[in-house]
Amino acid sequence: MSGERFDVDHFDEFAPVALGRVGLRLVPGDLEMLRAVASVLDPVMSALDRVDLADLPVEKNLDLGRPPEHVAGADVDP
Amino acid sequence: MTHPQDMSLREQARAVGSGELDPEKLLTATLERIEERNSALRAVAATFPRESMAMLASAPRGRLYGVPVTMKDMYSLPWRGYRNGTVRELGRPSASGAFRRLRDVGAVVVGIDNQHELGLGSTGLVSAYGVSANPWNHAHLAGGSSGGSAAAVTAKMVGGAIGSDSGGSTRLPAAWCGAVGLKVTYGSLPYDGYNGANSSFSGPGVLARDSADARLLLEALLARPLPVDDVRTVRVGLVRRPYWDDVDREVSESCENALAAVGLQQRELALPLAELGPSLLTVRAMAEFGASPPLDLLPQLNPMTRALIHYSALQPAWRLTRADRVRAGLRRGLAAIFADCDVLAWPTSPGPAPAIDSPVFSLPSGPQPVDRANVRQTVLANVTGVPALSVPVALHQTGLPIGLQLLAPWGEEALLLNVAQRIEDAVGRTWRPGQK
Repeated sequence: MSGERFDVDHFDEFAPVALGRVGLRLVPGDLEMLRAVASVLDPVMSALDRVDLADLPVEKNLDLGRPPEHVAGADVDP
Repeated sequence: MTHPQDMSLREQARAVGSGELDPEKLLTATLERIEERNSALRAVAATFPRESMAMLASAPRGRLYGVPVTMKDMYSLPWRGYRNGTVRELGRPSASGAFRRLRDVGAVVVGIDNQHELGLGSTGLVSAYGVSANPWNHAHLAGGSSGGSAAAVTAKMVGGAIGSDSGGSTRLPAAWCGAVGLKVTYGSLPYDGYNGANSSFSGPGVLARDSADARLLLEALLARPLPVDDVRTVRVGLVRRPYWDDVDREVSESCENALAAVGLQQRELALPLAELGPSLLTVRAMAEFGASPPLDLLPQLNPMTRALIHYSALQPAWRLTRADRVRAGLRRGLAAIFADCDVLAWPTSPGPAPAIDSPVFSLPSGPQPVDRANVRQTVLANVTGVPALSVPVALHQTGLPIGLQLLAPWGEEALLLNVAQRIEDAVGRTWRPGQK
């Protein structure tokens, strides 16, 4: 959810409320499955949180069909 | 007499084109072959003989005139919207871009292939159509998400199929089923009517029994020639970490042996940020696919798929901007190492197809979840946009195929096919994809 940190300690309270705000309703069994998915994917997703962005470029007008240097104005140094 | 689906795609095209094979008889025989073999494999989700016959009746005399092919359930047809492995239509019926490319060369769409629900998995275990079985051993997985396409091709129901690939979904089932599978450069054909149309990492793919058939089908899909060329001077780059780490020993040895047999120059290279590929794809996939299913579909989805959608809604938006910075760095790094090599190579999947009732890899590090280990191997091509291919190189001691993956720079699909063809020649055909 945009701007809102995932709260592991209060998952069972947080998740249904946060999902409800975007119109998603949990049915019996969903919370347990969601917790299982989170336990697998959280470490994968959060690996990005530790990356130092200082040395990474920004690609404007991203065109994935071409290498970065061939996209006019696309490759901007930080 | 040889069944026409025991012929390669190019043999079918040649025989129909020369008048030796009646295309109506080919279509009828193909539908019968699907009927005969599909109940054990659940590879083809739907056929539509009346519409296929009508398509044949109006087909132009192009390079694939009268040749039956199947398409993954992510493409809309004029008479059927895509369902994406779910219980109902999610896209409107239309002549999707991929469909038009096939129609324009005279091909006949004979069926829609089974796939993992919403494309959110590499196993094929979750689908409204049931689990696709591996043609080499029906107790094992065909893979995903284009598992039905790979199984249909290698079980000789059709000579070629159109899959899709958002994180390895064409290459992984190709590796497990012993097919050639190629994901195209991002955006290299019209994406309208394709479920991946709004994705920043998804691309259509072709699946065929060998690289020559894949070339013929891909030329139709890309609407441009992919010329055969000499690849003796091609340099192969090996990025050992993370792509050769924690891979089944027999898989890595078979891939090494294939590369040695082909006799191309090899060099070891490093790709900074490569280990973050799965993280950035997961973040992007959650943002792009998680929000796309209609809310009233959710109760009808498998609980695991629903949990992935719920999980996607809990992700902070700031992580997306971090993912895109990493992607920009990875694209720049990849462009740089393609100055030092022409293709990159590593195992497509870290292990052979697991059993349906035990979908776990046994890797040197121990038992590993299939999706996470698979995506690590294939995601680079998706997040950077380059084309990639899987070519079968050996049979594992389990009797299941092993695939070697090749990546090439943007737009270099012909190079991939040329190297794959040389690998096929070098490893020899002591076994044939699609034997079973």
